[in-house]
Amino acid sequence: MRCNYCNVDIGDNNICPLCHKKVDENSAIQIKTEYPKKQAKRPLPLKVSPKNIYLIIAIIASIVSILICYLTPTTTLWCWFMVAVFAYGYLLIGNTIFSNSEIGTKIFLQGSCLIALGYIYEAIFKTTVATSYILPIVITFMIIVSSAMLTIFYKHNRSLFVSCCLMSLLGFLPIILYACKVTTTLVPPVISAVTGGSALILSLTFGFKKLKEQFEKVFHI
Amino acid sequence: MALKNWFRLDNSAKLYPFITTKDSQNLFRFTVELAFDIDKNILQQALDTTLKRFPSFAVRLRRGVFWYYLEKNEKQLLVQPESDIIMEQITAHNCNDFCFRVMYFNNRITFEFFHILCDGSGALQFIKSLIHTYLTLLGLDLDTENKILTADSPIDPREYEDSFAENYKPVKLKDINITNLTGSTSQAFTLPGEQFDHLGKGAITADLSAKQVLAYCKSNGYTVTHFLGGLFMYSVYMAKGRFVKNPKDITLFIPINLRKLYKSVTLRNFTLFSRARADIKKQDLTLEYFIKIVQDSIESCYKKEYLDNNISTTMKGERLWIMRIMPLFIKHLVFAINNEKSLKKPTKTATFSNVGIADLPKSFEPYVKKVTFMLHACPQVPISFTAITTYDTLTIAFVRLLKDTDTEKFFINYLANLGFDISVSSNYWEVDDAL
Repeated sequence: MRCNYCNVDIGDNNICPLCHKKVDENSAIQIKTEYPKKQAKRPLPLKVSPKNIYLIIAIIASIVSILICYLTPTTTLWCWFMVAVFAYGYLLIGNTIFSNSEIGTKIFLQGSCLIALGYIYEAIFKTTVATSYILPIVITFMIIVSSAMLTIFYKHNRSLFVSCCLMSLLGFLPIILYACKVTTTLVPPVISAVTGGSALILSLTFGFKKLKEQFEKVFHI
Repeated sequence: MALKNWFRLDNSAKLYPFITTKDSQNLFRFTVELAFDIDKNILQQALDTTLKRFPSFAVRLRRGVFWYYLEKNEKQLLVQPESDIIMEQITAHNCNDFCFRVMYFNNRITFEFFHILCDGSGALQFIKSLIHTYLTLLGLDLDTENKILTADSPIDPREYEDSFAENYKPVKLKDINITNLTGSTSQAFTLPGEQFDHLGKGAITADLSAKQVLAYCKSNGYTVTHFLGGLFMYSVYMAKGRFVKNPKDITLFIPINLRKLYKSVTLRNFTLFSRARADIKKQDLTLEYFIKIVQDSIESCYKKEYLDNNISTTMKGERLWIMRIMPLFIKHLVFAINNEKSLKKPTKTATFSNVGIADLPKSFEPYVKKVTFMLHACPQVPISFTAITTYDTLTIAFVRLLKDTDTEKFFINYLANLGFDISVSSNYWEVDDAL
C-alpha cells in the first residue's frame, strides 16, 4: 500500500509508520511488519535495585542500633559491630550475589570481609580470636573453596588458577604471624599453611603452563 | 599455528565496559533478509562452523586485575527466535556468555553485537561468512569472488590484531592533542520528546535505489554520506531544533573506517569519529549548510597526519603508566564519575554510521534480499541513524526511544519529494501510544 500523505510505499500495512494516518479511513487497523509481533509491555528495569533497598534498610537498622547502644547503659559499643555486619551484608548482596565478577574475586572479597569483621569484633569485644582463629580458618576455607571450584570448573574457569594460587600464598600468613609472635595459637595457622602449601604444589605441578598464561591474562603482563 | 584462546581488548573496546549502564550498552544490529524462510537447525550448524573460523568472536568478556579481556568461550552460542525488543542488553545470562546473539524470524537472520567485539565492518565479514556457510549447507554452490572469509579459509592472525596498537607512533605526552580526538565537550542539542515508558525501541527503515541516490549526490558534488548526514541534521533542525529557544549545536558523530587508509584487515574495532557540529541559532538554515558542515568535518578528519595523531593520542591514554597500574575497580570509579557528567550533558545529538556497500558476491543475489544495519539509542541520545547498501538497495535505518517520529518523517518525506521511490517499514513500537 501507499501513503498518499508521505508518498512512500508502506507494504501490507494500512497505517503509515511516519504520519500514522490510515491509508483507508474506513478499514480496521492492519499491521503486518517484518518484525516479530509486539508482546505485552515490559516495564523498564527497576531504578531501585535490591542492593539499594537493602542499603536503606541497613542504614535505618544501623541508626536504630547506635541509638539503642548509646541510650542504654552498656560498657561495650556493640552497635559498631552491628554497623559492620550490615555493611558486610551490603557487600554480600552487591559484590557477590548480584555481581558478575569472577568466582575467585568473590571468594577473595568474601574472605577479606569476614576477616575484617573478625578484627572489628576483636576490637569491640576485647578478645584475641581474630588473628588466632578467624584469620587462619577463613583463609583455609577460602583455599578449599577455590581449589574445589577450580577442580569442578577447570574447563570453564581457568582464571581460578590465579585466585587459587594467590589464596594458597595467603595461607602462609597466619604461620608468619605466629612466627612473629603476633599470636600464640599454633594449630589453626599450621592447618592454613598446610592447606595453602598443598594447593600451591598441586597447582604448580599440574598446571604450570596454564598458570603462566592465566597470570598474563589477568595482569596483562 | 595454535589458535589464541584469549585476546586483549582493542584500544576502543577497552572503553566500552566502563560506559555500559543499565539502560545503555553500545550495541549494533545487522539483519539479513533471505529469499526463503530460515531453517533453525541449519542456522545453528552454520553458526557453529563459522565460529570456529572466527576465534575473536567465540569469546566471553572477563575481568582482569587492570583491564578486561576476552577469553575463549567453550559454551555453545545458541540461535534464538528474534525478540520483539530491538537490541536488548547482551548479558552473560542471555547469550551464554557470548558478546553477540544470532536470531531468526521468518526469512530474517538478525545479529546483535556488543561493540567490544568488533565494529560494523568486522561484523559484516563474520555475517557474510555465516550466510555463505548457511547457503552452502542448504546445498547451494556459490562463487564467493574472494569477497568472503569462508569457513575453510586459513585464519590470518592480522584479523584479530589491535590495529590501533599496530599503527601507534610513540608520542610525548606534551605533543598529544586531546581536543582533536574528543572534539568539543560542550553539550549538544538532543531530541526532545516523550520516550517509551517500557522496554524496547522504535525502528523505521527506508529502502531506496542506491544508484539513484548516488547519481543525485554526484550531480550535486557530494558523497552519499555527506548528503545523508547533512539531511539528517537538517531534519533534526526542521522537525525539532528550530522550535527550541536558544538551542545547543546539533552534533553528529560519524565513524570513519580506518582500514583502507591503514591497510588493515582486522575484524576488531578500527574506527575513529568525525564530529559534525552545526550552530542552529541562526535563522532559516538550508540543507546545503548542513551538508557543507558534514563534508568539511569528514574531509578534515580523513587525513593521515590527523588520524595518526588521534591514534597516538588514544593509544597514549591506554599506555600511560597510571592507567596501566590502576586496578580495574578504581578505573570503574573514575569512569562512573565521568559518566555521570556526560550523561547529564551529552555531547552528541546522534550517531550516523554508513557502513557502505555490503559487498556480497553476485551469486548471492537470488538468495539475499537485503541487509539492514542499526545502531543502539539510549535515553540521553535517543536516536541513531545508519545506512547500508546491498546490491542496488540503500537501506536507511532509524532507531529511537522517542514516541514521535517527526525527524524520520521529515527526512523520508524530503527524499520522497526529491523523487526517490521509497519503501518504508517499521516495528510500530509507538503504535499503542501514538494512535
